[in-house]
Amino acid sequence: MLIDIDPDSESPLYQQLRDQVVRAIADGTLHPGESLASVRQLASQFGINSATVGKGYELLRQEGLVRTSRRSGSVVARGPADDPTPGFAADWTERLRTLLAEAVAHGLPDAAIRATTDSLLADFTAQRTDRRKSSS
Amino acid sequence: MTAFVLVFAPVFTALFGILFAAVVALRPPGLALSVRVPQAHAGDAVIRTAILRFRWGLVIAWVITAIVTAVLALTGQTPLATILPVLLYAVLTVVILVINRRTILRAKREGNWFDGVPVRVSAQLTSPAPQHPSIVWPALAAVVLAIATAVDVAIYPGLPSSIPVHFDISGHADRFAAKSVWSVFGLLIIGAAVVVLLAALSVVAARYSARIQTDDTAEQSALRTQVQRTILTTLLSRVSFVIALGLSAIELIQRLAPGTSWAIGGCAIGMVVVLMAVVISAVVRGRAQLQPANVRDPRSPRPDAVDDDDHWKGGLLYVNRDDPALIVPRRFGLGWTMNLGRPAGVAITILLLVAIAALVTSVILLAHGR
Repeated sequence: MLIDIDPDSESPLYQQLRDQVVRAIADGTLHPGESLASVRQLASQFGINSATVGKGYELLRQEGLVRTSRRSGSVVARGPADDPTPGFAADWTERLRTLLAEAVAHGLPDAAIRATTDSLLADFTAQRTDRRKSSS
Repeated sequence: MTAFVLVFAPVFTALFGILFAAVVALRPPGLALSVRVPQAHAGDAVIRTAILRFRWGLVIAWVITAIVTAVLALTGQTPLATILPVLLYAVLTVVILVINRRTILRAKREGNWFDGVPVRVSAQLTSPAPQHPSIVWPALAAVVLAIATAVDVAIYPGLPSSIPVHFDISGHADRFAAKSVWSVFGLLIIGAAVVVLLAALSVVAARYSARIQTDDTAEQSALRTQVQRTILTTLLSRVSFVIALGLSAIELIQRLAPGTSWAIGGCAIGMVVVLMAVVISAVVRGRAQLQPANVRDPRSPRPDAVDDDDHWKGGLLYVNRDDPALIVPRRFGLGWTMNLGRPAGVAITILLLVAIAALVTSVILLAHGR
C-alpha cells in the first residue's frame, strides 16, 4: 500500500502518516494482523527523519490501532470488526463535537452534514466489501 | 598482440555505451537524464532532443575512444592503449550526460515547471515479500567448478614441479611457480570466491527496495520493484555462471593441453562476449517488462515527486544531509549509490575507491609481468 505525504502541507508529516493509516484500516486496505514497514525502512523510503515516522507510529500505538513487538515488528492491531476500546467513544465524541461545531458555525445545514457523514460511511463500507470480494 | 590491444578498449567501451543508451530507456517518466520533471512536461520536445543528443554523444565518444586506441596501439604504447581509452570514455560519458541534462535543467528553471504542481513523497507501508533468487545458475556454477577441481585433484600427482602461473598477452607462459595448492587451484579458488560473492549480492538484490516514484500507481510501483530485483538477480547469477564456466575451461585447457595458447585466448574472449550478451539481454528484457510501469493514465492522475535535483550533483552523486538513507537507488543506471551527505557514506566511498585503485594497479603490474 502506497502512502503519499505532502511536505508543503500545514499538517505535520507524522499526522499525515497517522491519518492515512487510520483511513486505510477503515476502508479495508489494511487488515488486522497485517505487518507494516519498520520505522527505519519507512523513513529511508520517504527520505525524512526517522523521529518523524516514529512519532506517527507512536500515535497509532497509543490509539491501539497498531502494536509493535520485537518479533513481528509493527502490525495492524484492530479493524472494523473489533469492539472499540473502553473510553474511545467518549473521546471521539468530544472531537466530533468540535468538527460538527465547525460545520454549524460555517452555516452548513443539518441535513447537508448528515448527508455528508452518511455518504462517507457508505464509501468506507463499499470499499471494504469490494476489497473482500476481490481478495477472495 | 596488437590486434588484441586494438580490439580490447573499443569492445569494452561499446558494451558500456550500449548499456548506458539502454538504461536511459529504463527511466521512469518523472526522470529525464537524471533530472526530475513533472509528468505534464515528461513528453516535451526539449527532453526528447536532449536524450537523442545524449545517445549520439555516446556514439561520438566511442569513435574518439577507438581512434585514440588505434593511435596508441600503432605507436607501440601497448599498456596505455588498453587502460587510457577506457578512462577517457568514462570521462566523456559523464561530460556528455552533464552537458545534455543542463539543457533540460535550463528549460525547467526558465519554464517554472514545478510551480503550482502538487508534489508528494511516497513510501510503501506494506512491503512486497522479498523474492528468493534462483539457485539454478549458482548451483550449475558450483558443479562446473567442482568438476574442474576433481580433474585437477586427479592429475595433481602427475603435474611437473614447476607450474606456469602467468601468460603474456599472446598466451605464452612467462612466469612459473613451485607446485602448490595455490599455484594449481588458484584460478578455481578465485572462481569460487566470485561465485560466493555474487550469490551473496543477489540475496541482497532480491530485497532491493527502490525509492518509490511518486507518479507510479501502487501496481506500477510493485512492478518496478519486482522488475528491478529480477534484472539484478538474474544478471548476478548468470554472470557468476559464465565466470565459473570460463575460468574452469581455461584451467582445464592449461592443465590438460599445455601450449594451446589460442584456446585459452579464445576462452577469455568468449567469456567477455557472453558476458556482454547476458548484460544486454537482461536490460532489453527488463525494458520490455517495465513498459506498463511507464504509462501514465490521465484519468487517475498521481501527484508528482518532490524536485530533489539540488541533492543530485551532476545527476550522479547524491548529497543530502537530511536524508536518513545511507544507500539510495541510482537515478541514472541500475543499482545503488552512497549518500555523500552522511559521514559514513563518504567513508565507504573512499574505501571503495581505494579498493578499485588497488585492483587496477595490481592488474597493470601483473600485465607487465612484475
